[in-house]
Amino acid sequence: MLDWTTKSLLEDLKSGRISRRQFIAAMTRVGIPIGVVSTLLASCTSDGESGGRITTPSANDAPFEPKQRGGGGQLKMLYWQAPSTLNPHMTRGTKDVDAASLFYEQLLYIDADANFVPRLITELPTFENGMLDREGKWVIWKLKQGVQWHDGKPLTAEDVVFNWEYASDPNTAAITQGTYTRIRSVEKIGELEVRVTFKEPTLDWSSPWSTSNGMIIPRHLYQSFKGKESRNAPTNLRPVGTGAYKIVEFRPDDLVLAEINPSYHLENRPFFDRIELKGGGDAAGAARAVLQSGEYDFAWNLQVDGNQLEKMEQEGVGVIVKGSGGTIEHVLLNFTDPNTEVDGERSSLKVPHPFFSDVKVRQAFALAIDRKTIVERLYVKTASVAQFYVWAPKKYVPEGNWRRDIEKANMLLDDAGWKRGADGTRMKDGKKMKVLFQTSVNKLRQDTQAVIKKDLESLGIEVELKAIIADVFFSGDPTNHDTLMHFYADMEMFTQERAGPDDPVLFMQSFDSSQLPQKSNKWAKLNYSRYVNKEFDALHEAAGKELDPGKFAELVKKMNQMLVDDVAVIPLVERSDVSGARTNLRGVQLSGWASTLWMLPFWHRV
Amino acid sequence: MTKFLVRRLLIAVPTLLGISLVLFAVIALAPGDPFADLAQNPNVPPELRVQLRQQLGIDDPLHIQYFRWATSMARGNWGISFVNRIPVADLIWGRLPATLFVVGTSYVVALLIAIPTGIISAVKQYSWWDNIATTFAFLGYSLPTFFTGLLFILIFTVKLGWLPEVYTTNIPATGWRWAIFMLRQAAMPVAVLALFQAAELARFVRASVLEVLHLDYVRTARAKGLRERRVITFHVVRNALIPVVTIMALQVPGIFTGALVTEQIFRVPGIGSLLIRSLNSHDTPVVMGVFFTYSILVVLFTLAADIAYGILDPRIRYD
Repeated sequence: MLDWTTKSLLEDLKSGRISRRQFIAAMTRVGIPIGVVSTLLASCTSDGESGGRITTPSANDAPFEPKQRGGGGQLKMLYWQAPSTLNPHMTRGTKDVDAASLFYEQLLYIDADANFVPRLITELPTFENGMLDREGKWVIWKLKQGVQWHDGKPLTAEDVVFNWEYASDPNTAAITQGTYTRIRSVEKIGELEVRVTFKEPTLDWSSPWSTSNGMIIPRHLYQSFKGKESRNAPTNLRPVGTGAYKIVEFRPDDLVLAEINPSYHLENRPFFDRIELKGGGDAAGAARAVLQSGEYDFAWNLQVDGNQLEKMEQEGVGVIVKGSGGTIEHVLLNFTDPNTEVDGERSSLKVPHPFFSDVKVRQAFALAIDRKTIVERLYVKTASVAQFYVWAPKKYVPEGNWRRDIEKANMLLDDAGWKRGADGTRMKDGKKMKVLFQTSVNKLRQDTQAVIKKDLESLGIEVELKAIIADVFFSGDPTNHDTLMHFYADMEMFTQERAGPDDPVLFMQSFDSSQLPQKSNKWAKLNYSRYVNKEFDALHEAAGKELDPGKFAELVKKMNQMLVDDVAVIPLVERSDVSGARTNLRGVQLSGWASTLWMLPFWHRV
Repeated sequence: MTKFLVRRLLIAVPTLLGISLVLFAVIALAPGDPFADLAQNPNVPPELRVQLRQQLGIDDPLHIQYFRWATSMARGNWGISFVNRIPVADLIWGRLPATLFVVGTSYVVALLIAIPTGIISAVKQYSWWDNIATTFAFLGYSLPTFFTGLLFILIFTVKLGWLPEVYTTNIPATGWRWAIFMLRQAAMPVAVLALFQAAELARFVRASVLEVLHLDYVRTARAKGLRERRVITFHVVRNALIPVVTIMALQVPGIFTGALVTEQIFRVPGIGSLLIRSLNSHDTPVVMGVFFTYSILVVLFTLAADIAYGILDPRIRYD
């Protein structure tokens, strides 16, 4: 019940119980002049407590040391894409990963600054404590004592061994399968110890266990449901994990209800007693529910226009929280000709592109596109201008000095022999410079395309835009010409997500000439731009074999620089994941390298 | 009558088979991939996607896929969802109550609005009441449900804060509190659907009543000295409602498909939002399952319409 005195109204506003709108309404109703009200409001926001910020919290939050487990009541979360499954090996997107992470845990996590955070292990493997092979061939994991599954059985080394067997069995059809294939074996060497041996020496010894592909499922419940039986496991719908919450009910594509795990292995955690994770609807509705009506405490992945989010945030009910994990929105230029058909296929390696094969032309394109406007006007505070393909963590990023330069772009095109014709369009040998630019159907992407089209037209290039629905664009259908892999266009734009902070070898496969998609391999390869550079391949191969982290970082920087100098890719936007949280929610630390809910046991309300 | 019933039910079987064939062909021929979302997942190599497609039989020739689906349907096995990896029948069954509740309630409300409105409109033709009602009917019919839905949310949730925007099946209360909560959250989706249907229905009722009002037996009833009230309620309405009942029964399948949009906006976990989800993720078994459910509903309700018509109007005889 609101007390109608100024002091308590101010307190309500500061603690987030009422929004600014309600505060103003209440004050003016009592008869206080609007000038006084706005001064009061100004004093309120100066201590930064009333919302209106887009932030990555952690630094602002005071440490929370609870004296007991639970007592926090219910936490309501809204996911506009509803979770479809709770089996961490069958997930189809971060929504499923997050839902599974309510119940299951990883051995360790990677925080926003790419540091390891142990959860189910006692210590991090290092060269010094003998748990990590200097030659990168094996790693030993020691599990914590006394960790229990939700049904009371203890967590043992056999569970870790089982997870590898389960995921790598092709009959299980696990989505995570690809991340376990580099492991030769996982053997139990003690009641709580396992040794993981890799097929090839690797620098990336922590994955998949440090990623969401490494959530541990219970052997004693999944044992009889391996391979083809995997989909019949009752545990798929009633998960039993080691996490802070136990399942109450799961309605697929609708709702997940969970309650506190009284024997959770972290003392005095978690804070909330019950979780409701509701799914469905659209991103804008989810944003409203947290940032305007306050019906929900947290909403995931607010893919909404940045300007709208900012306006909603000003109401003071909720704030935007960001997590960035290296996601990059970029443009690829086709190194082959999409308009000439050879042996029943276009964009064939046999026919190089009429003008993108010329580095001067490519550089002109890269210099002309106005990345700053795209970020500031369309993405607003949820992103930054990208200069390199791998932009996080910082150790892999060279010094960047890209600046938009229309004059230089024009000069480069003139130098390359593409002069402006009578109608302003550039021509060479009687052929016009014309590009087909494709991307998926998505308002943000269409707006970005419009900006790029204007930029290129000012150079004298004719641009045709094409938008293909996401289902088709990203599908692996070999018979469909509109896929990313077919690339029957001159330019295409999309977002690529990272697998983990130390994945550049995997991530940069997209420019290796061993990954060229063609009809012969059903276009099931990753180098969509068909970029062929022996020097890059050599660096890539060397990086794959490099075990020294310092030398590895240097190699990645070199590759990063080469991709940009040679314009194998035009990086546009460093995208963050954006979620919404009520102003009174604390401890919401997002990491781009982990699931949104990785720190859920530490979330609390003030 | 029995022979008619049996004959109609027998014809329903090839009808459903034909519908399923067309549905299957359209969905299978549509471009798109149940594993499209994995394309951007760096952990999923392209080879794994090819393998997954093969395992779920997506790359098999169409007629084999259809045969497999049809035979398992006949045995009562509606298949397994590609996305959830649980039986389709369980998915649909679990979500049917929410749809039936929203749809059923909205239809009852629509009837309660439309029938009196239509009757009064017809009886007091061209009066101010009639004009207002007709205008509203026109508006209600022309405004799409996604527009009215968002409008309601804007007014009642954002501006006034009276009603919740999110429909949840997890209500933390019991007894009459539960009922109040349910009422509050169902108010908007039901209102949106009810207004849309009431608009359509009111026009039918009005037209039908108008037709009966000018018939001879009504004039006779008035001539006999019956009060106007009795003439209307006892003689006119009962006869006027016969074609309306038929229309109602034919409208019912339309309500389910109309509920699609409402379910999506208000996040009602019904089979409509399930259909949209599975269409977007190209989850063929679920799409087939939901569409098949709709087909069964259409066939059943058409039959019900015919039977009701036969019962209500003694002039109609089936054999």
